[in-house]
Amino acid sequence: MISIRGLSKLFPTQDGTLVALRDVNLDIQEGGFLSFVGPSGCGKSTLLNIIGGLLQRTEGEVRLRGEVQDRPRRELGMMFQAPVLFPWRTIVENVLLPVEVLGLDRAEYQRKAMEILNLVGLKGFERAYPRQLSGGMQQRAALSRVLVYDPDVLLLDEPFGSLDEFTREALNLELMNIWSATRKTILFVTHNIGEAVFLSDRIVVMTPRPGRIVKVVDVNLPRPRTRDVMHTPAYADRVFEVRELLGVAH
Amino acid sequence: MAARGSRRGLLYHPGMRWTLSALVFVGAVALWHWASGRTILGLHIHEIILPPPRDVAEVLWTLVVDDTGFLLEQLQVTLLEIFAGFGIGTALGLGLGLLLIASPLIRKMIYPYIVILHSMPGVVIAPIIIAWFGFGIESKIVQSTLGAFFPVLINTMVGLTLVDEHGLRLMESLTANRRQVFLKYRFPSALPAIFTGIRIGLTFAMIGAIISEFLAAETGLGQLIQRYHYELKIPEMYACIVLISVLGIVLFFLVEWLDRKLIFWRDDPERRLWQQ
Amino acid sequence: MDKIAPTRAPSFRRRLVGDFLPPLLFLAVALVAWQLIAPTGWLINPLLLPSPGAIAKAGWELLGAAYLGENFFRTVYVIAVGFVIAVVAGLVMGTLMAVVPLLRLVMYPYIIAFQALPKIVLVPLFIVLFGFGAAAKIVTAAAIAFFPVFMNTMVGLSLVDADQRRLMESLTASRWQVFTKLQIPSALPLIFAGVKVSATYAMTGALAAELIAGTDIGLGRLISTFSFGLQMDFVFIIVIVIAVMAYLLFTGMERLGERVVFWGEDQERGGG
Repeated sequence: MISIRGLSKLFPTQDGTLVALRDVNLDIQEGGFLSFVGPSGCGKSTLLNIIGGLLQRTEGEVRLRGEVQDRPRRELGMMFQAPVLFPWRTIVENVLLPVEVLGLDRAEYQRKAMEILNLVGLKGFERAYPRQLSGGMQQRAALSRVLVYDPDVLLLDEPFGSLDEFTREALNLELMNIWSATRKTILFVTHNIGEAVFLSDRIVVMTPRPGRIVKVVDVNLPRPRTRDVMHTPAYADRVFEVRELLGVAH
Repeated sequence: MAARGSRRGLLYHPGMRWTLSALVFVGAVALWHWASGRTILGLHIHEIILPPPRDVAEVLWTLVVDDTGFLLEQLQVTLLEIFAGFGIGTALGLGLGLLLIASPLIRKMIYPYIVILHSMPGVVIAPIIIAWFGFGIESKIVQSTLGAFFPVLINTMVGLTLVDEHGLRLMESLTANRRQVFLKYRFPSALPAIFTGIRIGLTFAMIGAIISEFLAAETGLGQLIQRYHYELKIPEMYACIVLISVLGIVLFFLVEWLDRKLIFWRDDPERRLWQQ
Repeated sequence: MDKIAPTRAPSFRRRLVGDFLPPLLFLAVALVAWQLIAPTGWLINPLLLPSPGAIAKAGWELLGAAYLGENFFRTVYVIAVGFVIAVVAGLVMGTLMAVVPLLRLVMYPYIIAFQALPKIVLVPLFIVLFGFGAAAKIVTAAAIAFFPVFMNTMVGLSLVDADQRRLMESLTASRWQVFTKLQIPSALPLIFAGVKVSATYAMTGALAAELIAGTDIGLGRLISTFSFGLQMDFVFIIVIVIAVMAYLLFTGMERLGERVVFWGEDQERGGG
């Protein structure tokens, strides 16, 4: 569905050129859950932003369903580490922002927005303002916003990175449920290896200087997955495999 | 860490606070009363230059209660000058601000001069404005407009320029076009700054109207102060100063209230200071 | 359509031309138009709006005039003294309010009231109390310039970063140490921003007082006299001189600020 060939990204800096990505080649199947892990500077966020069309590549190409992909489109939905909710809008108004921007029928989507908010556990907070919600709740609202207009591909850039362990786990489970139900293609950037193994079909392991793909690991754990899978030896093996690829000792 | 609030001691109880505040007021008036006519350190404070509080209060009462019509006439004029100038100045400031943001070329041409004009004290222009527009109400409105114009313009530009990157990225990812980004994100996110500019603009509009009235006017509260000054009716002058001060304070709170209602999402850490 | 990102920033010369040329061009065109239109009296009586040439001539005359010196330096003197008083008072009062919360809470209504009232209305009062000499103008300048320093000092010293405070406490720092090693340095950017605004306010206050008083000496007084005599060319040149002074004062304070508060936090207060 998404194919990347020879992708490179260079940044000019005061001390010379920074090679954020070098010669990335990747094929992404439709409906898969793909994680990108690696230390800071490995280019995983850069890659995601290029796929999303927010950043221009230096070399190579990205194709979405055969077409060149170099700008944002409604088939793609992005979610960032910060919720980025507009403080002057209520939660439901924030969720409906894409509907307004894309010129869709507001009445029709209003109902859907309320359903999704209910689904992510924000029932009763629709008319609240962002400042009244906790960080975790704000991210749920951001998640609702990216789901409401039903993009085929979700690009999630460390969406739960600023949340505490428990909230993160809860949101991971919700994300998995949503994925199972809708079978969207999900590209998930994280530096949490355990999270990546738990959620994904495949893991793209990347390293920095220059940013590149080391290997694509098949997770191969059976679905549906519950928290229990984290106690299985297979899970631990995968985590170790990724850690080794990243050069993390023991 | 010591706990806050009532645990701190009797002195912090709200009732005590307000009592102390009131006591400060009483004390100040008492000091005033004591100082009027007295000789301190060889300096004689003549009753003419510092009339006792009672005289000022009497005159104030007379003005407000007996001469209400007359007073209202003067007040009306000054208010008209302030609001007309404020309205026009704000509209112009907003308009030019939007234009300069939209057109980088015009901005580059004009902005340096705006910075220079803004840092110059607007009051020195007042005699020129009076020479051009006469002693009547027009010159006051122009002066008042100039006062409001610059803060609104500058704050509008700052607000529209310093937008949070994250929001821009979000709008971009939703394929929003430039108009949508402006209407749905840039402009609302600039509203706190713009409104701050409007608040400052009102203050400067008031200053403009007042100084113009001081210099040359036929009617208005400011003009009244100068008239009483020349006629050596000093208690009356004091009373009018009190009245304009009250006007200033009322307008200030009006705008504050409006700000709280309209820009309800404003996050102002300074407010905490007054509650402790 | 292939869109590849550029990997080089625009050259220095390009920026120089791009940024300096438009305003200079604009100024040139404006001056020429003004010079051509003004003497014809088409828009406005040439007596009221002199041409740039006439203003320049007046400026030349002024430079040679004996009275310029004393008026100029009097204004500078008033601004300087008023400014110093305002800063000292502002720092002291601001610190007091920050360090003694009770005082702050009790004085709150008066602080707000004093902030809200248009201080220019007090000029006639000061003239009555202090006469038509320099004193009233100094008091005006000080009164108007007091607020920004005062408020910023108070706010800067009070609103300390919670994490930084906790760090000091964990190191068993005494109140005095917290004050000198944390509160003061962390408040400096804000305090200096206030001082910057105060300088311009001192200038405004001094000139306003000189204008309103209309007698004695000072640049404001000169403007008043010249404008009553309808010698607008002299009025304009003095206004330009004041504008230049204000600009120099403003940028001077900015440069100074960059040196003193070199760790570069951006804290702009709206003043008022």
